[in-house]
Amino acid sequence: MLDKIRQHAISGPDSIAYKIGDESISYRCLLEKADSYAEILRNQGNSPVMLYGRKRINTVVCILACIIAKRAYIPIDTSIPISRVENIISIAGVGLVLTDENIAINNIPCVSLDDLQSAVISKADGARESDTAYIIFTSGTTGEPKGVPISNDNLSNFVSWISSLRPLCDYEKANVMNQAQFCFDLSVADLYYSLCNGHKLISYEADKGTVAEFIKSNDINVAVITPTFARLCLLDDKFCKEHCPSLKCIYFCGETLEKKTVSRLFQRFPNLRIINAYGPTEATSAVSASGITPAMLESSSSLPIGDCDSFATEIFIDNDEIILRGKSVFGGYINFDSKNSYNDGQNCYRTGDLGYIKDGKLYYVGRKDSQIKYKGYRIELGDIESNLMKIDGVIESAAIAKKDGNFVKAIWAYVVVENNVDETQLKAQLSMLVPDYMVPKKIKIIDKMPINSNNKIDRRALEKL
Amino acid sequence: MRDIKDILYEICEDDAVLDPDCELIDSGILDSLAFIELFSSLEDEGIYLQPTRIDRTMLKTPRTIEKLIQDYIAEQN
Repeated sequence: MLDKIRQHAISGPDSIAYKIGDESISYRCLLEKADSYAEILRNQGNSPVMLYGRKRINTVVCILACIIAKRAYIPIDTSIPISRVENIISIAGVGLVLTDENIAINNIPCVSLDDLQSAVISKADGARESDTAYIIFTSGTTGEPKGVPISNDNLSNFVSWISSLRPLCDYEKANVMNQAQFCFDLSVADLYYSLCNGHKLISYEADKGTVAEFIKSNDINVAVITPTFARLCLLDDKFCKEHCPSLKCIYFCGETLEKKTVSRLFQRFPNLRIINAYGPTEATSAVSASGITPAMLESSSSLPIGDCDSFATEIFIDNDEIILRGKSVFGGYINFDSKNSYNDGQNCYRTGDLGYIKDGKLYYVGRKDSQIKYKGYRIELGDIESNLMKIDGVIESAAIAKKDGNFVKAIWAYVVVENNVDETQLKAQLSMLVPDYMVPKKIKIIDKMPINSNNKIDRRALEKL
Repeated sequence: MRDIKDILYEICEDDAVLDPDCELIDSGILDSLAFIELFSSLEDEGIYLQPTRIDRTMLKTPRTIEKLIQDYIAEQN
């Protein structure tokens, strides 16, 4: 994978590798900087490096430097409360935080990339060298964030797979749009697809104008976005072929793509190529993809999430559940005993996603548990419930997803409290424990939890309250 | 077309929106996702409003949204 990026630094050294706002960096400069910082990182230990903060040119330099130095990176954005960040640092054994933000973490050096050389690493770094490329933290049912380590082999396999997808493999020089934060594994698709294929990656910043203006001014050819983001784009009538003629392909992943969204896209961009990809964080961003055609909108089934002849890893169905096995699958969470293994001795992951294979295509039906996708983020409702229970005075809690089909419109929570606390206070306290997108839109205080015949919380009854 | 309070209730599932003067933005009821849903639902009803060209105060309550829609319909006619 690194060789591919180096090749582009040789064949097109002055080509722009990454751009954000008015700043950009060429392939040559990116590699030179990454190599030089990698040397310093290598001399400072083997423990994972947290990359904390907003997207900047330096973020991509740091990512590459960590890959070169064989130190796992953990991307974290500023929406994560500091208490959760500290928890992640402790779970992962982070030895260094690279950031341009003004934060302080006990006993861990927090420095900018420019200050890395002079940073004093306060404790001996005993971590053993690992083959982990990055660790992404997701929501966990117990209220603790769950660390998903992805190895360099996992990542290389993913890069080969995404680079072979039609029409992505057809573009020689493309301008690729990055929408997701780097802590969200959708960004693994745009970042590595772009860098490993010599394309220009350009980050969209919501506060710098509309998406249509961004696509037009940057001549974006490929957009890597979530379906929710596409719906936001469609609210702008300038998001159309006439105004954005450079846009050729949209790669979707992260949540269910609905026919209604695709139909609107084809109305605005009649020749648009749409890729609907699927995969959990545990299997390196995505493991399957299907090209979506207008004809598929006429079918009675939902849109396919994969073509069986081009899976990134082995996929099969067991008791209606999608099971993944092979090169894309991680080796187990860093802080949980269970590997979620299907079979001992092999990297196998039970996704919890219900699906089926028909006529050579993979389809998603829903979840077998309470994990949801909300605004593109993967959330365990149990994570919200556990963190609500940490708030003083809360004695019972339940969170439910308000849905329209598979689409989650909102999260609501219900709590039983023993002191005088109101919804505003509960939301404020919860936002100190979990990211904003995990704070329920509504928290209702009730006298007691409805219980069903199995002595469990009656969630259907809750919805009627 | 359907009543705006029915559309808002379908999106937000919150009794509060049945009050025409309910504060949709300040209360957090009309968050970013509900905002997308609202404009998509209005498009389904043939009301093509451009969020980028709308003053946010027009989305403040069900009553102001109703006024926005009536103005749009009058303009189309």
